[in-house]
Amino acid sequence: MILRRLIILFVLLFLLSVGESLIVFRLLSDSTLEFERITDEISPTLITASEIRASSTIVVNEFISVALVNNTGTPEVNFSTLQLTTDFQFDGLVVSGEIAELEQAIQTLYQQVETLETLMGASSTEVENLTVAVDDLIVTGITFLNMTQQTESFTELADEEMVLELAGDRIYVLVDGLIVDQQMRLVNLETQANQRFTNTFNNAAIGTVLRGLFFAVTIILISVWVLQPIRRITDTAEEIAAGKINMQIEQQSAGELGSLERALNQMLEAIRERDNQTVKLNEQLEQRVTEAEQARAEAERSNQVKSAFLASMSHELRTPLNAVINFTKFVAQGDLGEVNDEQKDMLMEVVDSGRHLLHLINDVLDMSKIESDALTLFVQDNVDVSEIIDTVVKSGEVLIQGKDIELRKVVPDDLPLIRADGQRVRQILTNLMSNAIKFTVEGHIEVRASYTDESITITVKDTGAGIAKADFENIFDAFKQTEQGMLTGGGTGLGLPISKSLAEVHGGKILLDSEVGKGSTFQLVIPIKSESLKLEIDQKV
Amino acid sequence: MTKKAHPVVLYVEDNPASRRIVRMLLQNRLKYEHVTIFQNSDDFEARVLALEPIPDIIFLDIHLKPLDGFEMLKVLRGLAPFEKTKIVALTASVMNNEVEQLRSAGFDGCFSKPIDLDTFEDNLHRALAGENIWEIVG
Repeated sequence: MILRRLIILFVLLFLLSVGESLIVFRLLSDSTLEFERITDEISPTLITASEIRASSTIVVNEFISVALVNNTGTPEVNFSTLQLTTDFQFDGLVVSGEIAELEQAIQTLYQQVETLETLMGASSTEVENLTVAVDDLIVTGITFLNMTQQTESFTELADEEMVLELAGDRIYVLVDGLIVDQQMRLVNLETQANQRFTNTFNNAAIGTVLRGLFFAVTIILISVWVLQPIRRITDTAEEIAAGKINMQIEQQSAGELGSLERALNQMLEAIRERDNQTVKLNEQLEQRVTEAEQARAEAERSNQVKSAFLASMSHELRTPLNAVINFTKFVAQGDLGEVNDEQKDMLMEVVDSGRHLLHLINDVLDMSKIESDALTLFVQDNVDVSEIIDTVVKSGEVLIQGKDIELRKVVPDDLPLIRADGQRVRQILTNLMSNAIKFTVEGHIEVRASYTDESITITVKDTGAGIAKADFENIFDAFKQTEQGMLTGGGTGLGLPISKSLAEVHGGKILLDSEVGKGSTFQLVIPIKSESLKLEIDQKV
Repeated sequence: MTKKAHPVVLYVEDNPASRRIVRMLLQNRLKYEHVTIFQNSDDFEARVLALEPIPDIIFLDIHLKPLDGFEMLKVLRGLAPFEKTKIVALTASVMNNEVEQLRSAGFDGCFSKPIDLDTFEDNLHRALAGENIWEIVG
């Protein structure tokens, strides 16, 4: 609605301006034209009038000259036959040279009167009077001429001359009157024109003032109708933005501004809603954070408890085995006196069982550590894997005794030293080796080492029973065993899961390829210098 | 350095079985002449200083009273005669940060229990030769 108001106002203003300009223009042109027209009319009239005056004078003078010269022989002119026209001629007169001039003068005079008649119109009173006056002059002149023929009385001649001059004067009077009239007219017109000019100018001035007022009014109206409401709304919005979120915008306006006010208030409502929701969500979030922190703290406490438990379990479980294994060994090996073979056998079995039990305990403890994230490595640089392989292969040879298995070792001379927990690497390889021996009845077991820039790979390949693809995942899963494993007995089933975890903690992995009946290939891949391994102990040189 | 026939050994251990095993191994089997075994750490400083000859290598059980392994180590390191002696921890378990503790405390190594009769002597000589053996298990 506001926009419409504005448009109407400005269109009106524009039309007003245009109209005004047109009117002014029109008036000015009209005045000018009329003025010109009238001046055109009056000028010739004035000129002709002046000419008539002059000609009359000439005529009078000519009459007098002729009269002076002409004493004799001039016949009487019959007035009844006298035709006063522009072609006036003294017919049959014996005249001296001046008659021609007199005739010429009279003719001229009549021509001029005719001209005046043309200019002013035949019905013009001035023209009629003038025509009569000119006729009168001619008649009077001729009478004068006749008299000069008839008498020699100076007095009579003088009187007649007087009459002639009076006739001439009469023409003067008429002409002068005419001239004055025309001049007055001209002056009047001029005055009128000036007046109109002034009026037009005044009108224009007034128009401008009005226009100015109109603009002023427009601006005031815009200010009141449009700007103020907008300012009011803006101020309120700013206050709300500054924090007074619960304010409302007053519904004061109609039309578009009213819609704006309503819309803003709706928006405010929506914002307040969302604020509230945000606050609620924040509270919920904080609560959840607190809960999560509590859970974490609890988990950590739980872990600490487990660690402590494992530590003491480790110590408690292993200590008795020292006596079990070693005392029995001493006796079996004859340190306390001779033993016979049977005794030795039995005692060594005790030792084996003890070792087995130790192995079980170690595995269980390792598994517990892995499960509770408590496994730590004893990392050293420059661990010699070749040496470890040698050790493992040696102990493998011991285990093999009795079986028809060939044990091969293929290790390059320049196998790089690595950063690792040497004991754990040995643990993995021992596990792989003992598995290979356990599951191979005959054939060969090959231990091969190779390396790249990044890692070394130790492969333990056997010609044993092989593993079904379906079991690949299971064998690395704690507490699950392959059928074979169950059949052969022995072992905890934790060996491979532990080896896998140990490999992964090193940043490496264990790979498996196998087919039932075709043997198995286990590969340990270990990074040479894993970034994730931090040195526990510096090697003292 | 004149090499004695057998190293002089001190072992501090409160567990009787462990003591007996070490004695059986070092004295009976290997015939070391100078094997001393303390049952506890009472009057530790006085007793070690009274030793003759000075041990080449000392094995300490960690969990002892009144002084534990670390405290004994500290005492030893403060005594002039034992500055160069190899001091090795002997323990049934080493958990997580205990290794770091042993190292920063200044132990020259750590052997594990149960003792492995087959490798013990070898490791002992290697330790005497200056090798730091960390038989970490558990």
